[in-house]
Amino acid sequence: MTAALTMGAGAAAAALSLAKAEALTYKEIPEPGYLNLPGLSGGHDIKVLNYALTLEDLESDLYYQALLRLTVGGVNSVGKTIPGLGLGDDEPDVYYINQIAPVEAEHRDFLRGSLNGLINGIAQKPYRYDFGIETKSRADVLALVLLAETTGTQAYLGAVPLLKTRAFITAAAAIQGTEARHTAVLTAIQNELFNSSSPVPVAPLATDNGGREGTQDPDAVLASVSPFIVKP
Amino acid sequence: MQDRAHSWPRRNRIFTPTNYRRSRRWNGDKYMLENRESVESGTSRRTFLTGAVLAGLAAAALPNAVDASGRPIFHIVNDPDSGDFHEFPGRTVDEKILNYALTLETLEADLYRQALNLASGKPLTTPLDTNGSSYTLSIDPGGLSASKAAVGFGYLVQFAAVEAAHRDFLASAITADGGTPVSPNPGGYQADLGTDLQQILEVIRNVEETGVRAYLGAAQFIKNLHTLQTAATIYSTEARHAAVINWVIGLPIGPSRERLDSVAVFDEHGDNNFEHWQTPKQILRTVAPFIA
Repeated sequence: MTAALTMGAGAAAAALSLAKAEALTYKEIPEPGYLNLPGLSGGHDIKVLNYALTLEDLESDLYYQALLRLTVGGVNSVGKTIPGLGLGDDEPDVYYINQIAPVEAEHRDFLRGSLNGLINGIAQKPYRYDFGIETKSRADVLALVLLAETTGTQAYLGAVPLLKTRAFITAAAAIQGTEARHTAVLTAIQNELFNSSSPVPVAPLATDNGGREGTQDPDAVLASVSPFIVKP
Repeated sequence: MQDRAHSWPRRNRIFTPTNYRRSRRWNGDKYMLENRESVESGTSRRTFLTGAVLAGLAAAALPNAVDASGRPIFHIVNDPDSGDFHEFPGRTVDEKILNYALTLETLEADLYRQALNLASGKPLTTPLDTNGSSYTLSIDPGGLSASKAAVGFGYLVQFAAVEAAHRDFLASAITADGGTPVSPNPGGYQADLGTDLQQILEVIRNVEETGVRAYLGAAQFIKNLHTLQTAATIYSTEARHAAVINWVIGLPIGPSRERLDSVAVFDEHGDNNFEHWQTPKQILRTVAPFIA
């Protein structure tokens, strides 16, 4: 917990013990304050990138665990055994989760590698995640992956006004667009497999915010993903 | 450091899209090993962001830093056309970009209207009916299965109304800010939409993919962050549309790099992990045949 480490030792210990019970907040996302010199706001924008990295790290791990659950099973990073549901690679959910998983891992590695490439150690450290996936049904696995993608899609948009410089906009938007694609296609797959009689819209309808994507603020996003984060 | 050395499920060695097949990185255990290495060393991809951060810091220190032609010094690559919106009216760059977006949304909305009429057996000139239930699929599905044809037609109905809403929203946003929205082309819009639903969706897919590339190319030049956020909410919807139409017609869901595309992120592990962008000049050349 980088945020905790910057406090005094006593405060840090208190923060760590509280952290287990409380949702992660945007305030806790690491911000290298020493880059916020007069006229500069580098640290501020690095915090935004660390926020994106937090979500990409969670998403990548979720895809890994989802594949284990849907197919042959395995053990996740918190040491839980995940029994496999035995689905084949050509099932539509397995096929697309297989396609999307390496893209999410690439987003994560890009953000982490770039941040640490700037100043080693500046990137948010990876957490471990427990999604309770070992007991989820096939439909619930897809619903969870879809929830993560929808949250990611709207989280990037919610973070736009937090940026202070232009430097990251194209890269961040280039990630956000792929999240939007994933969200739409996974919704289409969910409709095909589980919802064909009452399909969910794959994109905002004209009657829903004028067909514009919704946005979510960082603290709302972090509150919704916090239950999955296993804090150190 | 947590242990990330677990391997992917043995049967899931596929990562099948052709764009990954070339890359040894996605082959079974190799993938996770390399993945782990990059998490630990964290320095394998410094090229893009280091430059961008330094440029960003420099720009923050010199907020008005521009190049000889008046553009911000930190634009994505040294493409002289990337920030050139001079063809669009507006008192500010933001207004010019909104008019650029409106130009494309107007074209897109009209092509959707025509596509929907064609797929429903109505005269092409019929105005859009936002009550989607007045449309019924009445054209050959082409190579699409019955279920994909039904889903794809449903997308045409929904997305036609959405693109019209984007167009109207942009026009009213420009007006509300005291600007003047561009008018639709007096001669209208035209496209060879083909003779079956699959062909119609292939054309519409190209229009959506063009829209995605236009928004991403323009994003960094929008000065007001709330305007940028709003534009990005439209861009996100375009990306969703493009992806599911690709899915219906059996193409990779994207992003898929096309001939004119510029990369947003220099990615040594593949072409299609991040969206691509094009300059306004490239976009206008692409859509010129649609403007009657």
